[in-house]
Formats: sequence, structure tokens, C-alpha cells
Amino acid sequence: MSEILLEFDHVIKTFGGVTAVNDNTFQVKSGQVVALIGPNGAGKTSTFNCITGMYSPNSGEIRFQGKNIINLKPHQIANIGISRTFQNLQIFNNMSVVENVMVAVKKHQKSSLLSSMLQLPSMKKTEREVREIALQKLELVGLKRKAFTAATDLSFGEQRLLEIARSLALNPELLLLDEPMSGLSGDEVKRMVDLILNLKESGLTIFLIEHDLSTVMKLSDHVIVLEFGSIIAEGTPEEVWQNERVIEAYIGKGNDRQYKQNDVIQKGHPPLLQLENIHTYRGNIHALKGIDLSVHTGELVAIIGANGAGKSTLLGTIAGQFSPRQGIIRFENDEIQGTPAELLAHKGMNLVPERRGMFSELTVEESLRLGAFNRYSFTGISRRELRKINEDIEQMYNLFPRLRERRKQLSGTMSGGEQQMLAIARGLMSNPKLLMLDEPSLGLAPLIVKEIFDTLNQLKQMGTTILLVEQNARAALSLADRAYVLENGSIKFEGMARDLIHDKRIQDAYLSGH
Amino acid sequence: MENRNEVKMLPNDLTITKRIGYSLFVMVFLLFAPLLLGSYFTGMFVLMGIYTIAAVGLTLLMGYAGLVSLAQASFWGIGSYVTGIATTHFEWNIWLSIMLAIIVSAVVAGILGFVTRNMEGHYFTLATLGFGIVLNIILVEEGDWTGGSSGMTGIPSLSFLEYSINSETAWFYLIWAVTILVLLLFRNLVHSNWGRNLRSIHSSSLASSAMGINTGRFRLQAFILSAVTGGLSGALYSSYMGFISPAVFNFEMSIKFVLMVVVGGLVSIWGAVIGVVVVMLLVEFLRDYLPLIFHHSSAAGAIEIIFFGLLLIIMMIYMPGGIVGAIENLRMKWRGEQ
Repeated sequence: MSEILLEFDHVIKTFGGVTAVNDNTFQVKSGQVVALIGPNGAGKTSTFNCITGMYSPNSGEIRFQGKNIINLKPHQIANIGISRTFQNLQIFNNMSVVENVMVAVKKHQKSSLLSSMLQLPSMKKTEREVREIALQKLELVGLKRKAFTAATDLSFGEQRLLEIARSLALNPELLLLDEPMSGLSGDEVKRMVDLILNLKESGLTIFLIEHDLSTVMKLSDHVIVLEFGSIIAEGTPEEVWQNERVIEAYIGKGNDRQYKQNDVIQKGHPPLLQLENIHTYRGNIHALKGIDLSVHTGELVAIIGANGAGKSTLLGTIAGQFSPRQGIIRFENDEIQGTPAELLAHKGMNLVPERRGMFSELTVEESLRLGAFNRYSFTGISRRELRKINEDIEQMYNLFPRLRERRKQLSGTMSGGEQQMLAIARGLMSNPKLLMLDEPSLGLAPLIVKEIFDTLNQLKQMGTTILLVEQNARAALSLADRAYVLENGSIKFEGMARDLIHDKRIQDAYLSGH
Repeated sequence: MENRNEVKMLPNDLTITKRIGYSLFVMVFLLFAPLLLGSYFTGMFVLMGIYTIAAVGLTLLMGYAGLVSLAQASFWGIGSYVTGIATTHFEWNIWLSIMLAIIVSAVVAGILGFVTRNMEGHYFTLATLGFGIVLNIILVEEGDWTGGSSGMTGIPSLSFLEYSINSETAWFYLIWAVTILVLLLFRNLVHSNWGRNLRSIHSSSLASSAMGINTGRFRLQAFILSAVTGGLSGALYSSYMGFISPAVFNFEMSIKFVLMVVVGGLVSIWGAVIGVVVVMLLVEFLRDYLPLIFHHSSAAGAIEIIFFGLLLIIMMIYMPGGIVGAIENLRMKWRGEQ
């Protein structure tokens, strides 16, 4: 009964060597809510950007109402009935709420520059009509009473609603929502779900990206699952929920290696790192809500949790990138909360950031030498220290033999896996007391992930203290001694990694989100 | 007024009585100013009016479209030289020459704007800087047409039928009539949906294109409009002075235009007037007092540049909204306490 509104036909989009959309074909049927899900870096937003004309695909066709829209510009696509919201909010922050929506109301086509300058009476009338329409759209999302406040004064959740009101002002046939729930509180998520169901009721077709599978289950008629740019499953929410590939894509595959894990928490010594009741805000968002955590010397501790749980914020708070609003962080008995990142780096803390932070114009060897920044002083360096640095570089090449082959290569030109190895090696060059890794497996093929985890295991045996953040929970739990499970900015539970690996609660934490 | 509680990012939420009051005050001042000021200061106010026209366009470009142009003095120069060449080489009527000056400015801006249409932020600014330098070289080198570095003389004054506008007072009334007209036209423009679209591009061009706005077209229109004000202002300047030289239309003057706009305030078209008046009075003040401090008059010129640089930095740190923005903040605070 329902006809096809949007057709994605063998679309390919690559960036350099990375394939973001890999020859994908799917359809969005009129009147349905279709969800696009998949782990970080699966190519979901790239898919949206192809539809809305912000990326132009390498090949393939995208048809909307039967017409190929692949060569249209973003504003042309918006005007034929596809509108979108953004994952990272794109509110017009120099305007009031109602003006934000008025921008999208199309009733001004005839108004020229000249008539705007002369402020003809007809213009004033149109302007009033436009404002009325905008107010109606705001009423739909429940923001009418805030219409005349500055858009920047809205809360984060209200700004998400404002983006939806603005998109509706285009009177679209198809509404694309890029993670509408992310950053929302439990109540706000409920309101958003109701709103989306109401919009569907009114006949709008909705295509949404979402991480939180439990809302996807509630909302969608059809689910498409992406991993590494390819569609790995498609069907009703129930079918997808049962699909073993999907669960693997989200939680990660268990590593078939057996790593040696410690079963007991080391006691006696005070911990190397200790967090007490840490609260961190990112803008308006209360990202960490009272975190207690400790890492002992020689331990490998993992922090796992779904996207948006606050994992990277937690590492960033420890490493001094974000200042906590409340709470104490102790590192070797010193209180370090609020200390700038560069000072902490000299104190022996090293963070290998998510997406690796390569110095792409430096060669592998230069990058490693740079990693030993804290061992050079302003007055130069002793011959003995220089020899030690050279030995350490040699040691890194032993740990990661692939890096030795590429020592003279520019790091920006290497593959993702090799860059990750270099990032870890670079981190180690400062001889850190604590090495922190943010999602080392992000966007890497399983074989490479295994190789990197093998090396992490080697480092652990050598006595390096590691704090590991991972989305790939199964792999992390097969390697770590202890683990914390983070959900919505709080620690849901913690325990010895080998006990947690079979814990059903982990799957819930990943798949149900809120 | 409808919607009294409306938060406008633009300072136009005055009551109607207040508005009429302010306008009356300004009109009375402008009517009697030449009588009070004497010819030297009247002449200065004529220049202020001329600069304001160019600054209004630049305010539109910088404050509403978010593009910083370092070529406003170049369009000013194009306007001046087209008027100069048309009136002296071809003996065109002065009014026709001014029309031509506006058209040439618009066409040149159209070409430059089209070439730079995909350049973001600083790249666009650097492109306009390059254009300004090239133009200045052309003005100096094409001596047959422009008189080279010694400039052009004999550009006729404006005239109505047989009445030629010669006195400072007549110029004062004429220029300020034009300036107020331009201000009103631009005020209407920025308060229309056109201005709203332009502001949306400034805030997030990603979102405004997703909302169906042809961002490139609006950017180009804003750039052309700002060039047109520059051209008009330059044309009037050449006719008022009767003499032009390339030394006036250089990078330094472009910086001075940017300074005027920033000092006045980017958030409002009216900022242009305030900025021009404040900067011009400062220049006057510095011209009087710097030579007293630094005995070499050549050093005074250099000190002036340093002073303006400092002023720009201080404004950016402490008054990013300019004078208009600061007044707005004070008013909000005062209203909040009530």
C-alpha cells in the first residue's frame, strides 16, 4: 500500500581510502518511520549527507519521488521536500526562537531586494503570515511560549525541539533526524518519542539515525543496520533485535585469545589514580554525574558503555581537558582536578585520543621522537638521555613491527590501524605512569583490533598501567583486569572483567540506553 | 507595539514616542548643525556622511553576512576614479558619472564575489586584501587614465540645473540627505526576511542551506551591495574634494573602514554612523595632539596607525558589540534592575 518515497541505489562514497558508504541500496517507504542504526563510524551521518546534497557520492543514484536528486545542491533538495536536523545542533544563535523557524518558512519567493529595501506593505503582510506559520510549528513541538526568547537561552533539549520545528517549517515530505535523542534526559526522550509518533500520525515520513535501540524499537517500522559503511541487516525491529551480527556489531566480538587476567583487586598501596564524586558539565549537559573510580599501579582497567555514555568526557576530565565542577581527582596522592592538560602530561599521564590525533605531516620516527617531548629540556638533552630515547624508539619498533617498516613514511598517509599503533607508541614514548586509551578499536577491522589488543596485553605484562575506554565491550573485557560500566554519565556497575564478560546486564546497558 | 516581550537581537524595540523623539532630535541637529559648527567642522561632517555611506555597506557585510572585507577602500577608489575619468576624460555629466561609478563597482564586486564564492572566513578576507593591493597598483601605474601617483584634479562639483553645489553648508545638507536615505534603505533590508536569511548564513551556513537558502546567492548580493555603497561614497567623495590620488584608496583606508564598523558595532546598521563619527573625531584629536608629543610630524602618522591597531584589539576584547552593543547591554541591565 505504501509507495517508495526515497530510494538509495548502489551509492558509494569514499574519503581518501575510507569507504563511508559502501555500495548501499535501500528504500524508505511513504508514511513510515525508518531507523538507521550502527556503531560509531558506520557511515550513518555520511548517508544523510549524501541524501541532503552535502556530500556528492562517487557513484550510484538517490531517487526521491522517483527523481534522481544526486546533482542537486543542498538548498534545492530542501526545497523539494527533504529537510533535516543535525546531530551537533546547528541553531541560528543570533536570533530569537521564532526567527529561527521563520528562516525556513518559504513564502517570500517574490520578495526582491528592492521591495525589501522599500519595505512595501505587501512585505509586511507576508512577514506577519510567516510569523504565524512559525508560531504554529513551535506549538507543534511545545515551544510556543518561548517563541520570543533568544534561541541561545533554550536548554539543550529545547534546542533539539527547535531544530525539528524549523525543519517542519519547510513542509517536508521526508524528515531526516540525526540522533534526535542524544543528550536528552529520560523525560525529554519520552516527549521526543511522542512528538515523532505524532508527526508520523500526521502523514510525515521520518528517517532517523539513533543509537538508543530501545527507542528505535518503540518508534520504527523498519530498521537498517550499518557497519563499516555496509548494510549488515535490515528488517522489522524484532528481526534486527534477534540478529547475532547486529549484537556483535554493537558490543563487539569476543576475542578468541585468552589473556591472563588478575582476579583480585590489588590492595595495600594507595591507588595510582582515584576519582571521588566527579561531576563534569559539557556546556549545558551534565555529562558526568558523580563518578568514583580507581586505578592501581600495574592494572589494566576498562571503562565500557554505549555511545554518549560519557566515556570520552571521563578520560578528558582525568587528563585535564575538562575541569570538573565538583569532586576530587588524586594522582599519586596529589589532587589534580582542574590542572591543565599539559602539566598533567609532564606529571606522567598520557592520553591517546579518540581518532588518534596524528601529526599527519610528520614521519613515524619524528612522531615517536615528539612523543618523548617531556624528556627534552629547554637547555638541550644529555647524550645518555638521547641514547635512551633511541633505545625506546627501537623498543616501539619491536612492539609494533609494522611501524619499523614505515619509519620514514608520513603518518597521515598510513592506514587507520597503523595510525592507531603509532598513536599508542607515541604515547608510550613519554614513559607515562598511566596510559589512557580512548577507543583504540574505533573504525578498525577485527584483525587489526586483535593485533592491537595483543600488544596491549604485552604492555600489561610489562607492567604498564592502562586505563582503556572501549565501545567494543567483549574485546575489552577479555583483556582487562577490572572494568566499569558507564551509562548516562554514571557508573552502572563495576567488577572483575572475567566476571562481567558473561553478565547479561552489559547487553542491556548497550542496547537499551536510557 | 505588538509583542512587547519580543527579544530582538537588533536594537529597535523602542516605543514609538521615543523613536519619534530621537528622530526629531537628530533632524533638528542636522538642520542647524552647519549654523553652529562653522565651515571647518561642517566640512568634517560632510566627510563623516560620505564615510558613513561606505561603512553602512561594510556593516551589512561584516555584521550580518559575517564576511570581513579589506577591499572597501578599493570600491571607494573605483567609485572615485570612475567618476573622475568619466567627468574629465569624457566630460560626462556628474550625475551620470556617479551612476556609472555605482554600476562599475557592482560589476567588479560581482566578478570578485563570484570567484571567491566558496572561500570561508579568513580566505575571503585575504582575497579582498589581494584585490585591494592589485587595484592600488593599477591606479598608480595606469597614469594616462588615472594621473598616476599624483592623482586627478578638476572633478566637477554636483549641480542641480544651473545651481552648482559649492558651499560646505550645501554639501552638508545634500550628503546627509543621501546618507539618511541609505541608512533607512539598509535598515529596512536587514529587518526583512532577506536580512534574516543573511544572518542565518552567518550563524550556520550548513543549516541555512539545509533550510532551502541559496547561501551563495545571498553572500554575493551582500557583497555587491556593500561594494555599491563603497562606489557611491567614493563618487561623492571625488566630487566633493574635486581632487583624488591613489594614496587615499589604500590598505590603510580599508582598515580604517573596518575599524569604524567595529567601533560603532556590528549588530546594528546605526553602528556605522556612530563608528564613523567617533573614529573621525579621534583622528582629529590625534592630529592636533600627537605632533605636540612627538616632535617629528612623520612619526605622528605612524603612531596613529599603532593607536588604531590598539583600539581595534581593545574593542575586540572588551566591547565586541561595539558602542551600540555596549549601550544595548547597559540598557538591558538597567531594565533588568527595574
